[in-house]
Amino acid sequence: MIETVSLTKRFQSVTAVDGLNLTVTPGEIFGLLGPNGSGKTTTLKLLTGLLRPSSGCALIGGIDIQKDPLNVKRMIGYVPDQPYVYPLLTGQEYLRLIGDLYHSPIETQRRRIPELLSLFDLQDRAHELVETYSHGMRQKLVLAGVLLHEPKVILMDEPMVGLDPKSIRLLKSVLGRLAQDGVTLLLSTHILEFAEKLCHRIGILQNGRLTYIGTPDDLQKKACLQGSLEDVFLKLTAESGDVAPSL
Amino acid sequence: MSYSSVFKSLGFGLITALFLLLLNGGFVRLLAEVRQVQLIGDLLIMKLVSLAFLSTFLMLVFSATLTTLTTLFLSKDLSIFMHAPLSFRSVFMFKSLQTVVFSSWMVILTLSPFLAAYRQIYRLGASFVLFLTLTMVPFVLIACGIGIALGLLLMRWMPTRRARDILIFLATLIGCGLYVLIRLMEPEKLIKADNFEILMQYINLLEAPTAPYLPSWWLTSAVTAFLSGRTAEMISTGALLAVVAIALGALLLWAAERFYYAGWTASQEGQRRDKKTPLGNEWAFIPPLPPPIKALLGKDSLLFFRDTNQWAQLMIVLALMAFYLISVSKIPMDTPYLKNLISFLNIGMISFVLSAIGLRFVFPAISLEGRSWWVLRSAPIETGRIVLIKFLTGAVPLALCGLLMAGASSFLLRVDRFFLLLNVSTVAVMSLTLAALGTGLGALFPRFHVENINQIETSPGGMLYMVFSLFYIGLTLSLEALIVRPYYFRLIQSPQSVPLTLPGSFWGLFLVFNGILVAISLFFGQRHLGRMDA
Repeated sequence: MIETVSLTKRFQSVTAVDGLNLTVTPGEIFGLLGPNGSGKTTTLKLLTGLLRPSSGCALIGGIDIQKDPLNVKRMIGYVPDQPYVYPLLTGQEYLRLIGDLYHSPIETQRRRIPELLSLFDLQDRAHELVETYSHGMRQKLVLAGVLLHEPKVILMDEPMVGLDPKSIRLLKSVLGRLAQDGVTLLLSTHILEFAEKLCHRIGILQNGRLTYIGTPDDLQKKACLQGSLEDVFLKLTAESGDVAPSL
Repeated sequence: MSYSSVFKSLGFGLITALFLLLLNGGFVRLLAEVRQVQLIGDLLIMKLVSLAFLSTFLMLVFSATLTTLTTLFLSKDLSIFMHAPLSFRSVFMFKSLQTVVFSSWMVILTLSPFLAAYRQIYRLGASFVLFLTLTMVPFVLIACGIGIALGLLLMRWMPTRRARDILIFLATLIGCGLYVLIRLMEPEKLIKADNFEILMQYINLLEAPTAPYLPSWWLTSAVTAFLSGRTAEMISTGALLAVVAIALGALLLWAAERFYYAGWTASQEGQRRDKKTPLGNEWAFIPPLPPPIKALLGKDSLLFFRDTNQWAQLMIVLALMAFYLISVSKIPMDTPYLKNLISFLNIGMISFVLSAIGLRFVFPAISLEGRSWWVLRSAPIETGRIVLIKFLTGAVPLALCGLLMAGASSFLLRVDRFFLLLNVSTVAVMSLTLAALGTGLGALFPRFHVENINQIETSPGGMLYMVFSLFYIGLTLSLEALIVRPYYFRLIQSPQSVPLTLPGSFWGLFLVFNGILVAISLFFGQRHLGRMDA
């Protein structure tokens, strides 16, 4: 469902994503890990069309996002790392905007919006302006907006940031259900426990390149380690020299 | 810095310099003509200088009051400064300096061609430039200081956002009202000496100080003292400006230490709303349109009317329009020549007002998506459609403002049917083109990550928009002069044969010309916006 072919993005002298070849199948939850500045956010933005690749291509459902962006964008939902939404709209107005932009019928919106607001515990604040929301509430609002139009592919950049433990558990449950329904999920995260328990496969990005890819078990074997994903991740990234020496 | 950004900066600088040179040329011509008036030429120039300084002073106070609310209280970087180990005094001083720069640079830039013309007319040397700089600095600081003080007091007395919104609106209303009131004081009597029975009455009016207790008159006195070589007066008025500026600065620092932090923390409160819109009725006020378009228009409308900054700017626009119409009604039109000239130039003045409105509302429209731009950019909607919606959102109100001013001014000027048709039709078309220019340039030079809206308007793109607008207005007037001139001569020679309609060939060419400009502006704007990284 998601495929990148030698995907590269350069910002002047910096290569943020370097010849990325990645495939994610329908119903799979793929976790993208990596140190800060490794290219995770850039990769996600390339897949949403927010950035233009310097070379290579990104395909969603077999369609190149640069050649047919509208059809691709109809299929995807994106959760950015910073949930900036219009501060002077209410939560309900934001969801209505998303619903109309994605051509969701009004009857569907009338049913789904209250459900989603209730699911994310935002129903009491639906008529308040977004500028009064906390970071976590805005994150949940953006998640609700993504789920509203029922995309086939969901791309999430650090979706757990700002969420309380109850909301993180809820998110895990929601993502698990979506994957079972055939939705393709690609998410970046620094919470390795979350990735270990939820993701079917994990990829580790370093300096814009995918250095390791596989199931959590595969990565353990590669690292010759029986520990947690955190131990595996630190060992694998240390071998590449990206972990700072201990003080 | 890349070569392209250096090249762009040079380009902007050249265009701005050319524009200022043209303005300077116009002022030199005007002042040279005025100086030739027997007996009172120099007095007239002094009066013009005092009016220019008075207008500048009021604009600076007004601008600084509004800018204070954004830079000192709403700027996004304040959350970093306030939590850093910096004294509030330091933060206040830095932000006040920013306020002075943002609120004054455009005003000073537009005043400089006039002052340069004054220097040229009287053949003043480099010492005049130095003296003017030394006296203008405290003058600007006093005006901006008063504006900062007003903003500080507003936030101190009514710190919650909702009450602040109302007060901003009221303060703006009062400010605009005062400005219009001063305009009603009819300084145009200066050019109509017939109102005065004895010449000496007129001379006394010219010699009388314009608002003697305001720093604008002190600056005028300093400049005229320099011209006359009255050293003692130069030094005393210069010193007065400096002392008042220093005293005001000290007073502001004292007030800031008591009020600033409390005002800032209280301004962080968000707005609360009591209204609950039924689900599905959010864009009910927008006419039936495809859902994405209706939603975008509804979203932009709601954001506009909920943003206090926009209300304040709207008040400025209404005051500007009222000021223009009152001025038009006071213009003496003794002769058909003057009447027709004014009727023709009316198009240029209205278009200038519209371009100023376009700079404040249309040009920043795309940039105001801000950090929420990813919402539209990742949604299945073409960039071209977004740009088109922004254009329509700006063009319709701009055209309504233009038609209102064209209709009202034509009525006040009592123009004939030819000029009525010319005014209304030209302004209607020009307002669409100005809106397209603003939208297109706003898309070519978006600034999504700014700390406050002033940075959008005062950006290189904003300056380019003003320069292009003025060139376009000048070009349009030049083209229309081709049909106005023969009309005027025919009016004098054989009034019976004067046509009352506009030539079809002219109108067709005019529409095609503007259509091309609209298409080019929107095309390049949407193309750039679609290609740039979000």
